[in-house]
Amino acid sequence: MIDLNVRSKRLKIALIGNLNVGKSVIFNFLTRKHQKVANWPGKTVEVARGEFFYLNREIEIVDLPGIYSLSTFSPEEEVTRDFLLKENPDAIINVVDASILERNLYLTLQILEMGIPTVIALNQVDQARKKGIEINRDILENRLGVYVVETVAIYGKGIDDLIKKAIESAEKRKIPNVQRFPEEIEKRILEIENYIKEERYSKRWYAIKLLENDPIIVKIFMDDEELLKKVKRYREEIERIYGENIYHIFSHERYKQVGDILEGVQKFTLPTKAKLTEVLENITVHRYFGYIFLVLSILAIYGIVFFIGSYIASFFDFIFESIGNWYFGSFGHTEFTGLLWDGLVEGGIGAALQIVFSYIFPLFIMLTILEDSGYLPRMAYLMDSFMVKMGVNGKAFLPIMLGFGCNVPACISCKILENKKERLIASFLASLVPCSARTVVILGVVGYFLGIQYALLLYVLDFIIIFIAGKISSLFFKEKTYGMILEIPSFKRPMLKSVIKESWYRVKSFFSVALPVIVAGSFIIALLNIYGILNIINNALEPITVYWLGLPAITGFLLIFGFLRKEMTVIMLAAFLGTTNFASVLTPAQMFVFAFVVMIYVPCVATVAALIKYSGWKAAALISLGEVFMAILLGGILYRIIILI
Amino acid sequence: MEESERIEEYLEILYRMELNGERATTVNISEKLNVSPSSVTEMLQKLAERGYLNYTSYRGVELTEKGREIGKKILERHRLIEEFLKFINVDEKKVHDLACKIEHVIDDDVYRGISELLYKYRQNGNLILLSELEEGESAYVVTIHGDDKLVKRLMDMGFVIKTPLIVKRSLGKRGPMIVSIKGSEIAIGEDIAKSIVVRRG
Repeated sequence: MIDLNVRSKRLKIALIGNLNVGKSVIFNFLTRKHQKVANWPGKTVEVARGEFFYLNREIEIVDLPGIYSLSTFSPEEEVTRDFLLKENPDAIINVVDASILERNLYLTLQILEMGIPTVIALNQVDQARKKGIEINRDILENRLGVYVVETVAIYGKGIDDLIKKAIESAEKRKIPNVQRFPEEIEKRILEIENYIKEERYSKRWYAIKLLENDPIIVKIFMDDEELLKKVKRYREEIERIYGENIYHIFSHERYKQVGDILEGVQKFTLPTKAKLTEVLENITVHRYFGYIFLVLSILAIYGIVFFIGSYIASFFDFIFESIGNWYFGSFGHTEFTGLLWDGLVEGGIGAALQIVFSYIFPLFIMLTILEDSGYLPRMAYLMDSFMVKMGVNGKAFLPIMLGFGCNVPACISCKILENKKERLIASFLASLVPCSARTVVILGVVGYFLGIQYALLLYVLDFIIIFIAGKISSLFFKEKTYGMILEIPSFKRPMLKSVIKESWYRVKSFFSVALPVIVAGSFIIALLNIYGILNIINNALEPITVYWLGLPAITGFLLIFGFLRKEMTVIMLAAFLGTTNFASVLTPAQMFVFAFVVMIYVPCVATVAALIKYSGWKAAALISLGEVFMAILLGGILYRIIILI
Repeated sequence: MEESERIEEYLEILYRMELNGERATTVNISEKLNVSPSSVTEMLQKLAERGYLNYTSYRGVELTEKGREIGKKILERHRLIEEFLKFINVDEKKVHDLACKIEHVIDDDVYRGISELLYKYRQNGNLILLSELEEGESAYVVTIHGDDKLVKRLMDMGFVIKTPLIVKRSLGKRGPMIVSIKGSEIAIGEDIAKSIVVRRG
């Protein structure tokens, strides 16, 4: 039991575990923050911190990127290691996936070696049961010497108990059992321990890490040449005895320890799988049907978004028209009432609701379902061979799919890729993916006025461009492409509540950023129009917009403003026209070319900022300028082809 | 040891350190090669003069493209020879040192010959590359080839020697596959599957 009479105390608790086990779900539940959660490995790439009060204690909880081991070093794993080396958590909550216990405990044992009070969250026990796995918690607890708490984090089940046990372990400094290695290794670990002067973690842990030749730990003891020499001798002795490389030996032995610990812990019965899950599992990764399913599901997503979106859009259209009639009927047509209505109400808020909200909300819902289902990693698997041709591996398809929502998180998630070259190519490709803002332009203009088939044609064109751009950019790099290693999670039925919550959160953050810009922008364009400044800008850009792309002159200004937010282009057009009926001013060919140019001409300012942060300003400048050039060049060619047809 | 051999030895060790993410300083290198720091310094300067590496006395060294290429080649030879020596049952203790000597004297033809021989042997001994397995086949992990980073990553995900696995899905001979191992399903690319040696069964 924990002491209830404690007077405010601060504790730092870290969430550590394999990828996609539910660390961020627990974090969100405890802190009421909004860390990204979904069903694919690698969502969390940076440390997230939150605070909450619990039984008079102020608890800082830290959500760390998922790792498979404490001794490998890909960029996101470095984040977790850095945290462990620099900060001293009072307790660790090790989240494990109950249905993949063996693999998960491999990391657990490495964590326990550090000698920090630890609690194990045996998460997704419901899923494990469905898979026919029954776990004996008591035996596990006894053998590991730490509390093991069954949890189902998405429902908040067991979290209360988990946090209580974590506090108790931290305050009573409940140290886990030591798992012994075979005599030849154990003897040498004990020997080295005597020479360790570091005290942050257990001496045993440093001794093991030194033996394993972990470069970061070796660095800590850099000055102690005597010790390093001794360690080197011991390491070589062990390698000679086993006839293997040291980390072969350690991973082999650790898995053996896991095997011993699990002896009699798991009981397996036949899984109870839903029929639908089984069909999906077969079809989604099938060597032929898999691709058909992939194309159909992307088409279906946009079909559904368009269907629902245009329904909502025409509803708003009706509302605003009715209010507009009443407004002008009551206040009359003057320059001032016109500016107010065109610039602010119909052009600003109206266009925002009618064009943006109508399509974006359904799109976010569809994309969230896609992310939560567990389908994304399967897509990555199917696309691996194509992606390799572009100098990246299948994993790069994850950021590309995320790009459909927003390019900013897509660029950030490129961190899951192994080397700099792949991260660079992937962020370039992700910035070409039509995000939700561009979807507004494509569906709201081309789809709404020309028909959904033309909107889909734009998506197809975009994918062809992405493929060619990837192919070309891969030629600039000599480095070898790192092969794909990606865990495939089980399919999960997306929960209605969390899908709505996540989508609503995304819509909300979209609008809290976008709405002020939209309203201000719409107002400015209406104002500039009245004073004739608009024409100066438009005239200057005429050679490109009018003569090369065949668009009306007004698009010059729109394209410049669209750098802020791409959906601005249509909203401001609406504000300028005082109507959302674009068919009255743009020919079908112009709509198509306009949407095409908006789709690829430049990443928006937020994406450029993300590119600068994660790939450097040089890459950001190169990507932005390259895309402007590409859009203008291809847009003009497209215009001429359409005219010919 | 002849000078050309010593050069190769240095480049190999530097390449190895680079793969492991270790900083190549004079002290580190001298420890690894068991020679005095002063002779390391001398050698590094010589290598820098010949364009194999960029050398500053206090910040350590960095291989040039030219140096890296040779280091990589020698390391590949070293690994192949080690495997060969184990295959012909040479005493495990001698394997590493012997390989260090032999790696400098064989040429590309010998390298190819040995690797073809080992390949044939693997096929006869039921040892094949994971990439050659068909959908639905099962096997045991025997060994993993590749740089340390890759080997570590795969072992951490469960690809440990003697572990059983099943190829759940495959997109054909030239493509990725989904492997079920230690209760999890992992998609691996063609290149990765080619670096894992397994025994059918």
